[in-house]
Amino acid sequence: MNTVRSNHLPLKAIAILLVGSGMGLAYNALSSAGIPLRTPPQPSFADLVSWSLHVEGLRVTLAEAMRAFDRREATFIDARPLRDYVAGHIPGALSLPASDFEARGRDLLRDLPKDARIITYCSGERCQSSLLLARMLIEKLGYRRTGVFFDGWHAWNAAAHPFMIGEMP
Amino acid sequence: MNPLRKPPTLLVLPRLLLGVTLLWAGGAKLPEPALFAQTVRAYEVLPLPLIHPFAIVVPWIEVTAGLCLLLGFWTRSSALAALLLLLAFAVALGVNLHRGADLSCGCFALDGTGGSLHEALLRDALLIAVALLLLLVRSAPLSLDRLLDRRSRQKDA
Repeated sequence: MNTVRSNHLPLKAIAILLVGSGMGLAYNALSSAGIPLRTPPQPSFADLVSWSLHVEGLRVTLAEAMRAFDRREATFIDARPLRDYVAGHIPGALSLPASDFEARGRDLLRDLPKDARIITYCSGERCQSSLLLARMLIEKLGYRRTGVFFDGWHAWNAAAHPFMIGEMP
Repeated sequence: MNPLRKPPTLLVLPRLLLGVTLLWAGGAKLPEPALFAQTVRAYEVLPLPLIHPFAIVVPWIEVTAGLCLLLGFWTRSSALAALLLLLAFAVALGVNLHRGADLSCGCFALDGTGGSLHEALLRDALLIAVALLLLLVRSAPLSLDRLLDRRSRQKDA
């Protein structure tokens, strides 16, 4: 009996590899985080930025952003131009276009303690203002717990999460 | 008689160690294949067309084998599957260590906190030893395998 079973050893190992592979392929096909089976010759710009944010510990995913929003654990800062903010933004987010940082940044965040969690975002993976703003918040104002929601407004909107229209209160 | 035919109960520990490690490593990589693909690319070991398929499939194989090991289901086969993965990782780590590549392991958290390649290779070698040990033991203590085995023997009797 034992010998019969031993003969099945490699077969079962292959079965485990196949079952795992099958689940991986299924998850990849069904999940919004899925990637193409065919490897592109170069990683996309968005992939590279995403990866480097992740490696630096700055990356905030859509799910993390949503959780922080639900639990009111973070102050969201919208780095897009004001007219985009007015057209629709994450409820409660402050508007601070990256180009206005020098003029208004310090004043806007006067009352926010330095250990507060900040999440910056801009329109999505093609914009960089959320990255710029996060860098300035960390380096110039000392908000060390700043993160970047790099998937940004497009991802938030596509997921039908709540939003608000109009200027800052 | 093979002394490993009736192994001491303590042998449950290496099985759980390997199981938990694989589950942890796979679980950390599995939600975001794009990030793991990036890590695989950085290792510069696999030919290009294999990078994405590898990144899609490997975390789930780790999780599957890890789960089987924790339960003690198909223990030796899971150990064999794990061994193949661990050997592949060892090659990737070894090649890059030899190249003197500036990489973080990307084994567990994908975020540069995984320690140096040296540490990673050492850890991998330890896990390979554990997998080999499990492969040698015919009947794993406190396992589903043994339970099923006992039941089928009772039926035979």
